[in-house]
Amino acid sequence: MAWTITQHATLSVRQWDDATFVYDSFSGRTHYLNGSAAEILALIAEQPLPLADTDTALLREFAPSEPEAFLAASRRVLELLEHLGLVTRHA
Amino acid sequence: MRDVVQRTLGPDLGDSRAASSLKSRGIDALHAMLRSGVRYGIGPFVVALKGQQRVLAERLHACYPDYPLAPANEFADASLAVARNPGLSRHWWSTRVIRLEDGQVFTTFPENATIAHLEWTLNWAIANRSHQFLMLHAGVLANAYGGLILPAEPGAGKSTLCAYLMHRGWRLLSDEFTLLRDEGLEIYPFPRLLPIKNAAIAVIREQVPEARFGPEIPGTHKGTVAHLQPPDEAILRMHETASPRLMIFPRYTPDTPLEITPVPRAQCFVEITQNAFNYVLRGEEGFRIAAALTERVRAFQLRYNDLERAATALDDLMAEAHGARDPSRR
Repeated sequence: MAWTITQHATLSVRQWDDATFVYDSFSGRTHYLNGSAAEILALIAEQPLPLADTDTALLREFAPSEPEAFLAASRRVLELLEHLGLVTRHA
Repeated sequence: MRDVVQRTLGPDLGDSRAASSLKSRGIDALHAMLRSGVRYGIGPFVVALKGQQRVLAERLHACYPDYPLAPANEFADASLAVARNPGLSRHWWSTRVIRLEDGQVFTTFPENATIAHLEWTLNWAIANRSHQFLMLHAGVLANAYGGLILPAEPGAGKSTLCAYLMHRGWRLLSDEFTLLRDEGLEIYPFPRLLPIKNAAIAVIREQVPEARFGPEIPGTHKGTVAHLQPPDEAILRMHETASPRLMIFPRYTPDTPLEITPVPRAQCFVEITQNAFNYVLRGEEGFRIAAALTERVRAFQLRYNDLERAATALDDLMAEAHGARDPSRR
């Protein structure tokens, strides 16, 4: 199992200032993402993120100063991205 | 100096100056033509209009004199028919209706408000059908340096500002619709009568004595409305697109002489997507056009209470955006 970009979704991305806008051609919706959500989405777009190894991969990628708080926030971001239909847990 | 011309596109009506215009026919001939229907071009669109009353011919002749007639077989983007009110009401003899293609009554109104309702019905028809364009609810003008887009909520003073600017060196493309077909971002003109409302009528009459107003129409759902004709140049050049350079979010604020605030790109993008009539419907293309426009223009919020000062500021901002003026001299 791994976090992946939702199948069928073609994402168009634009970034200005600290904001990222993502157009999802599958849902037809435009999403406004903050910095951390955009970074995690970009990481998953680069390559699927193994579900069992998510925390390790995130810590390795972002090297946060407060790992526990960072991981808690990242889990919420992943759930949000999943709720928006941008990422999915793929077998 | 002429403004930035990109290319010409519209119904195949030829040069507006050479084409037969509504005023080229006398009122009697126009009245006869209206019985079976008249087609005329406005920018990229053709409007078909039908009606039996002579007064309709008189209004067309007075308010739309320079619009080019279109061939009878030209596809019409909107077909409007003005008729007497078929229903029984206290004032049935003096009320009129407009029907669209389906024959159903779209709006009912007093005879003296015919032009106002023709304009509003046409707005509705274009906004709901012309999805070959991304349509912003925004006034748009152009000068030698490029296009100025004025998105605004109703009541922000957009039409009043357009009315002033089009008499002060700017070419009117539209006071209501900014039409963008693709990421090339040419803006297609759609120059129409400007509905000036309530207190703004006296303001424009005083500050623009040369303004050509039609009669005042009291008691509409927007109060008193008087329609202002665009200058001849706006009609003659209604197939010349312009390239966007400046986006201004205007708001008339009685207590603020002049305040100009830069709008960050992210906010500008959000404003464009929320302002467009059909952003969601245009799908990914809408996203791409809105993004390209965000990157093309410089964007500012403008608060003002003096039209002349606002116009001077817009002249300067456009020159700066073009690189023709040093921003430090603002």
